[in-house]
Amino acid sequence: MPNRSCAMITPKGDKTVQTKPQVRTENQPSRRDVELENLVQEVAEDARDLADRYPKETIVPEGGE
Amino acid sequence: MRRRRPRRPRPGRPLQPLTRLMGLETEYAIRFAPASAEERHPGNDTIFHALSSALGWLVPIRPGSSAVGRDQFFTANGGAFYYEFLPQRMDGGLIEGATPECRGPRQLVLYQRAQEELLCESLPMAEAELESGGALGQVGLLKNSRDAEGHVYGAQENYEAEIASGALLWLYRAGLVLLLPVLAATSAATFLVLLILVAMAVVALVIAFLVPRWRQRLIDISKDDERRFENAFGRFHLWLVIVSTWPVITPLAFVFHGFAFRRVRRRMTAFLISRPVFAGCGSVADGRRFLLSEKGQAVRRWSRWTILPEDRPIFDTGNLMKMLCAPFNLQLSPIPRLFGRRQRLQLGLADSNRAQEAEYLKVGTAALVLDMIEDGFLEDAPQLRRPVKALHEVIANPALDVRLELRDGSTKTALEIQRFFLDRAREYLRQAPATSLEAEDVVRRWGEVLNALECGELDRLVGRVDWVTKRFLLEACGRDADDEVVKTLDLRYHELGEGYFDRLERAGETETLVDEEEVKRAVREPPADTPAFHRGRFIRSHEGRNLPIAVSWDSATIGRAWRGKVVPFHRPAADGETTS
Repeated sequence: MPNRSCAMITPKGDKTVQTKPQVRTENQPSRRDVELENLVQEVAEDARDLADRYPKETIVPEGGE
Repeated sequence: MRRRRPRRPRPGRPLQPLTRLMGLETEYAIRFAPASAEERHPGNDTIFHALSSALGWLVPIRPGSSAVGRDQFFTANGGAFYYEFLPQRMDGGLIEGATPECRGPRQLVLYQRAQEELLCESLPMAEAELESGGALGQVGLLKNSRDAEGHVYGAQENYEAEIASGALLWLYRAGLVLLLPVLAATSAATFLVLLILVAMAVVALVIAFLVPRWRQRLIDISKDDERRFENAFGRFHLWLVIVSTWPVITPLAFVFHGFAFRRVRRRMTAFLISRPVFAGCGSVADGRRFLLSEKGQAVRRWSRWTILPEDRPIFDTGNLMKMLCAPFNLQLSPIPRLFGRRQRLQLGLADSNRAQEAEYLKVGTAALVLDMIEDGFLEDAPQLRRPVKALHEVIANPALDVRLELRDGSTKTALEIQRFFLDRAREYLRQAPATSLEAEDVVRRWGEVLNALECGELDRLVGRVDWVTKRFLLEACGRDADDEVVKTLDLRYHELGEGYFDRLERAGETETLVDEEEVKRAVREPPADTPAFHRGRFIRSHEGRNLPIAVSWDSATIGRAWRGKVVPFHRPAADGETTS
């Protein structure tokens, strides 16, 4: 039986749960962590570059099922 | 606790868990990025036709026979693609991909993945075809459920399930029989009205051509880039369909609501409402509120009452409504199938997952819950007092601590409800007469994910659960990012090939369940032991033959529609399955 009490780690009323990988806070990140960090930065940069047109290009005028 | 009934074979049910037929339907949003500001948008219907041509170069395909006014074709693996549009906006539609019928969640994930792979491969060829037609730009496809303006579309899950048993089954069948005279009268009246309207339209066109000024006006309308005439006609067509089918659909909705999948709906609802904790894709709503599910916020009903697309229910009987309304499309063959004990249960509450493990768990846990319901193992399943309200509470609560009101007056969180179903599934598998390694795997992964969510260890779920992965990327963008940047990330996470989830996958940061070689085979070969096997084999055996062939989910017609030879796709039986 898993320890269900650990669900209480999140304080009541706190709507933000930390989702950053723990490895990113270590003093000496591994090569994989660095690669992930670089990838995440690349994603953020790509989103900034496309922000002025991407949402408009992907409109589905009437929706679907 | 109420005593659970021992497992016993039910008509049409295989003994082994997770072997029922299942499938996914996924709507992909189409993105066209013109090469320059001067380039025109070709219209989504034109893009769909370019993609169809490209897919036809990659794998054997055959046109579909069923849908009137709906482009459809089947592929060599037994799956299908459609152009899904509303009649009032023909150039603003979506691409819908339907997997072949599969047995088991892993096979279903494999064929879903094959569908995405095939679409990705077709994109450069479709762009070349569009360019040759004068539309230079980049085409992208998004496997998501909500656009930047809040229009909703997305995925639907299908499972073979018992529609009713005992007295309820006979009441359901009696309800259908009573509706047949209404169906005959309304469809005859509709055809009569159509005949009169067509005659009036022909007379009007002849008169218009005789008057030079009106003739020029007609020519102008036919060249209208905004396609106002087509869209107006489509709007009229939609109105006609709604009005003409209303006398059938309304009483049919009562029959379905009263008798169809009643047992499943009662015992499965709490499971489905709490399932977004691991199957939700995450979405950024107004005011930057983070929601667990993209589609959940648009779900407004427990079951379907109309044929309108915006009437989005948790349990969708739209497919059964369409079967009964088949005479309006000059078809009668679907009606007898409605009387069968086992039917297609369609779930409307489903996000379009990018994470393979989330998709695997979404369908695997749902199929396991259906197995348990049909074997009388969930008679004491929790029942929510107000399901749709509870759903909206769950998806608006990423902290996963909101308590949902149950019918017995108690409350449970979504995680506690999921834990109930997981514990029950473990007990069920211990007592199952036939073992299933796949079912054991589903339960193991289900437990791992719930443990991580309960402990707040969300870092363990990046690359495995979509809403966690998306929120991880959003946080990396920074809290001061513009709304448009956040929206772009929210949307582009889902794009096939160049999207952010796929970039994480290529970097090895996601959990993958199927390998590339398997996917390549699944693009061309149907799953064995399902109706798709015969469909796929038929399509491949007629590759390159210049015959007029139209394929449907049940059969193919060789030759002209009315005089052609019909080849049925017989359904192979699963292990231990009996005929209902």
